[in-house]
Amino acid sequence: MLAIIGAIIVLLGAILLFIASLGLFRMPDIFNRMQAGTKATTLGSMLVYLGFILIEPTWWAKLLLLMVFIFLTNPLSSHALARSALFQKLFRAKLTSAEIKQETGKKYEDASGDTLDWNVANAVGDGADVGNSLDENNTAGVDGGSK
Amino acid sequence: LVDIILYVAGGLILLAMIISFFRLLIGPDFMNRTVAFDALTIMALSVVVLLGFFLKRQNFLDVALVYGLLSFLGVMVVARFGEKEL
Repeated sequence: MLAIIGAIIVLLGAILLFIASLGLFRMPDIFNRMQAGTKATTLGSMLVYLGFILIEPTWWAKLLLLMVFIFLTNPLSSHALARSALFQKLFRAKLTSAEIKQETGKKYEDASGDTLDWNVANAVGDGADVGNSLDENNTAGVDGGSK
Repeated sequence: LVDIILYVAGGLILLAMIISFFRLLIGPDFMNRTVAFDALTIMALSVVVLLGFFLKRQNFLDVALVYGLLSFLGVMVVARFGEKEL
């Protein structure tokens, strides 16, 4: 009975890891990808180890060591990656409608601006997609900005 | 029943590793690939523990611990390298 509960907990952790990889593939921005790819994998791998503690109770010491190790080191590496990405001024997706409007207004002003080339190309595609789902008024401005 | 559920869980984790590997391939930047690599090693850690259960060997947990330590050090070094000028 304990083994079945442990197996179900392992399956729950595997589902969380799968959702994490899906978010890592689908998210528009490096910070959103990091949010999906580190928090969900931390909880998912900890659930997998907890399930194996219930399945094989004699392995508890090393599995507990692995759980503590993941719990300590994974947010630390995520923090270092986020700080490095913030320092390099990578592309950040405009998610709210005010940010989209501000982005398009600014893009009309400095057409020869100092933003990176692939950043602008990426921002237009992603912003138009988000603007369609958020607010209908902004889609015209975003589409006008893209052309 | 436990073996069937664990086979399904292992298949899900392998599918998750394949999807993360696509992000590692098409990631438009250096840091995106590092994030995908970080997630990929943690999924590989769970696969190693699962394999240790199926082969009934406790030594695989030591392998998982050392692999997690090495991946943490690798990601940390890459992040520290990215803070300077690339």
